[in-house]
Amino acid sequence: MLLEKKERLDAHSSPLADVMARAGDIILGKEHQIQLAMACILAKGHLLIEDVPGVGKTTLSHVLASLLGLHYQRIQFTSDLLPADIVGVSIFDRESSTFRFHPGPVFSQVILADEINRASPKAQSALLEAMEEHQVTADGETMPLPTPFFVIATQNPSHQIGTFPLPESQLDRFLMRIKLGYPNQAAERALLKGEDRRELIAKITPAMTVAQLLALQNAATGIFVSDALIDYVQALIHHTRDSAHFEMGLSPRAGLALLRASQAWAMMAGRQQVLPEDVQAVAPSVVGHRLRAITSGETKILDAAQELLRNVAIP
Amino acid sequence: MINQGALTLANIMWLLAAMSFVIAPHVSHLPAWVTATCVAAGLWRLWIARKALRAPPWWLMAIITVAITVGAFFEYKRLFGREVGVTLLIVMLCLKVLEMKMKRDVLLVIFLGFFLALTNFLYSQSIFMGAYMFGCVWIFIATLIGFQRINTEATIRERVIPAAWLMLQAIPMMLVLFFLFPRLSGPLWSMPQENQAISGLSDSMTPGDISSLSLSDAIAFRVDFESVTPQSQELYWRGPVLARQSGRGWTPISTEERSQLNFEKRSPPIKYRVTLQPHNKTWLFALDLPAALPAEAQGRAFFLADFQMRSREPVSQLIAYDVTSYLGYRTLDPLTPIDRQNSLRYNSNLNPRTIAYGKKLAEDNPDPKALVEKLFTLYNKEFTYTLEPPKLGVNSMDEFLFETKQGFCEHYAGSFVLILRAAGIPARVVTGYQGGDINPITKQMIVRQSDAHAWTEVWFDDLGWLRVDPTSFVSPLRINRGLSAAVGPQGAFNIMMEADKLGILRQLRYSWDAVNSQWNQWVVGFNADRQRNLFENFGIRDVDWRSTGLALLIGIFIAGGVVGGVLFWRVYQTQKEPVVAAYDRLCAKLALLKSNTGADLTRTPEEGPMDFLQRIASHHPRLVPELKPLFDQYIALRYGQLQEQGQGRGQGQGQGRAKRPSHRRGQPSGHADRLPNRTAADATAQFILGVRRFRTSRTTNSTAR
Repeated sequence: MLLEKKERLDAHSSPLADVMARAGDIILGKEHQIQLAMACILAKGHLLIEDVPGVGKTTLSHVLASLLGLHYQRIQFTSDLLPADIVGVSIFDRESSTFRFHPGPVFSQVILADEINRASPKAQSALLEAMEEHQVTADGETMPLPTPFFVIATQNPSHQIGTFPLPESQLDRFLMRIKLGYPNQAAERALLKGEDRRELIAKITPAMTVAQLLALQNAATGIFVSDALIDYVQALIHHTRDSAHFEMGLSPRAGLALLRASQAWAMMAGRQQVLPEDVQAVAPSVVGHRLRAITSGETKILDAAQELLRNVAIP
Repeated sequence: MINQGALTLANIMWLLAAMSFVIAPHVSHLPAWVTATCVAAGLWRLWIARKALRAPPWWLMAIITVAITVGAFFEYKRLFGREVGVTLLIVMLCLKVLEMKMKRDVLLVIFLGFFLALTNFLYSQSIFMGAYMFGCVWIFIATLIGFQRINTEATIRERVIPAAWLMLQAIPMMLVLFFLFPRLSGPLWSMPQENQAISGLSDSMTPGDISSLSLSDAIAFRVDFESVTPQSQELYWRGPVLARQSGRGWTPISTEERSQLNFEKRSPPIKYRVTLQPHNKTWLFALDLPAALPAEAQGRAFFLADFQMRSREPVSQLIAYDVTSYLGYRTLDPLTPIDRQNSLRYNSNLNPRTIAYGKKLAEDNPDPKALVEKLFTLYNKEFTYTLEPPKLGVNSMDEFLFETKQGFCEHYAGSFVLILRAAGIPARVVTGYQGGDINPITKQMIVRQSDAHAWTEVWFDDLGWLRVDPTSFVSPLRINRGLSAAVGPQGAFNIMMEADKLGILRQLRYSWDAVNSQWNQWVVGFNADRQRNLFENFGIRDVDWRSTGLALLIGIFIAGGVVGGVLFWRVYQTQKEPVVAAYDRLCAKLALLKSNTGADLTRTPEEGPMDFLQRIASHHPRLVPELKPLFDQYIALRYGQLQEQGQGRGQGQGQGRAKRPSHRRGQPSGHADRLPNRTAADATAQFILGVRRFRTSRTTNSTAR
């Protein structure tokens, strides 16, 4: 691991490395998760962060949005949230005697959807079109969303009180789902001794311009994918469809997501081509929320992804 | 594990179809109620599969089983033997189909189905049956494939094609088992035979019998002549000798056994090998007269005083024997008083005109030879040869000789002997086969049932028993050129053959016979003797069951190794590119490393190259400087852009240029475009060479080049 990490840093003493380093300064002891989140953004995907309250989900999303220099809005999802609260609403303007559309928080480059599974399915689904189509339809009018556009959502594990589990269709729209987990002892100690995270976020200056981010996103799609690697990805997908361990096989969209995320990961590692290791690094996050192991409950879903990787040989 | 889902309608239908195929040839000799039970069980099973019902309860199955066993006992009056055994096997298998619930049941049914396919050979060993059983096995394997599917239903293609492949792969093993399995001869291994009516010559002769026989095209036996093939008119294959006139017909007289025939040889010996089709009688056919009993049949064959050759057991399976005959001979045994009496006796109540004619002839011609001459003229001038003579009454010979004057060999032989006996000359009827046609393809002579013939033997005091064929007086063609020449197209016999001017049908018939003959020789008739001959061809003598057993084991290993090797090679060829193969070799070399911590350094199937290198580095850091370039090359070739451009034949050619490695790996794509294959091929060659040179025992400062 040491060897690899060193390489990665050497290859990218660039804005990207800068973002990672500075995010690591605020979110302590979560380098891997930060990398995954970054890879997700570089792969133009939406990110879902899932964990119990208080481990820094919201902080991570704020930090990422700030460091990337993007315009972001936060929506706190609650059970009485209405679609109009997300998309926007038309209000009659007395002066011009017309309805004027007041854009909702969705019209921003990053949406921080906090505790997304606390909202009713109706409100959740308002995000659907925006996430997939990068456009919003209100009052019969379709309006494009800014570029880049992505959603960083956080959610509590579904066994917690007052949650509406995300429908599978919406889960599938998130490229990755990552879990933060508790910080280790050293990180927690540093956290307890250190400054207030909110203040730190407020002080953040962007480490990257929008143009740089778009260039990196485009570069990620150019990372070479060989036939041998496609064979491996296909073997993984087919295993989920043939094996008796999973409730449902991975969709073609999941396969694409796996490939995109792997490309972004390879690029972050400074490679020109995708290796099976890249697929294996991102697979638990990409596949975890789309696969359901037949014998397991919530806690075993991540294990299902590991199970998949363990059982499929690299061709 | 076959769960309930595998017992689907389609699978059940396949199984039932396979069962129907394998049982179908048995239906002709099964009792009707057994067939009905099987059909009912099949339909019931189908109904259960359609409606997803339960199998019948165990007590009902028990009652049915007992009832069927009792029924079989009453049908056959016993519970052991071929017929009852096969019947019980079939009906129990059908019941098993009815009650199967688990994989175990399915496997049992299918494996017993294979065994059932085998039982068909107890009834017929023809080429058709062989092909049919191949088909049955094919269907059963296809069925088995269907039952092994877990989630999805197998299509017909997915069943039939893999099944065919499986059978093809089994062929070497099949040949080894067939040729090398020790052949034992003994009562344990002989086929259980029960009485069956097989058409052929019969023990008695009354006009009409041989007429129907003449129409049968079935093969009686085949003959391979060692050197010269005798002329058609010399080919008299002796069968039963009929010396007694009983009623209107002729029957044999029992005579004493001989181990040697006593005669004077007057011509060079003719050596030949007879391959006799099973006819369930004891007759062994040979040309008049055989010098000695066949060596193969020592103790199991004997001669009779009337020159017949017989077997002690009925010929129930294909046998072959070598005989030497002398076509020119003079018998030396004297005519005993009893023989004379037997050869002169006739039924004086019937055929008064014939008897009177014979007596008058004897008065006119005191010399027996003159008398025979006289008869020759009579037959030659006034009689016609036909296979469809008019029906004859009680005094058949009178009617034939003086009224209809039409008939075939039986009529001539019968009337001739009767006249001679009335004239006081000892004579008897001899039946057997006459002639035979040569298959131009195998040069083998085929004697068919239609070559059945009856002729006579007349006793002359100075010549002994002399063969006289009255049919040849009437129709020399019958003797010289065969039956079809004699009867012509107006006869019922083989009008089709006559219409076949170009000889296509004839040619086909000969070809088919050639195939059949090979089948008989190499498949059905492959017994201990032939196996011994086979071994002797390879210079192995004195084989017994131990040496064949050993050869069998070796053969199984070789056949299994060859098939396994070919299959492995195919998989390897289709799946592994040179780069992957070289990488696998590298991993195999690394797997031999003993890590100092005792960890296993075998690459796990899901371990990527970088992870693997990482793991090795943590145990053997000194190897990294040498391994890192190799792994980089591998990654570039397998996952990099180089791999894309070097795909196809270029990689294979690259191996030939391994001696001139270049260092152009990882060049900008503009350059690679100009020499795409070259670059990739060189990189591949370099990588393969690097892997070949890599030694795990090297220290860090030595390099691969």
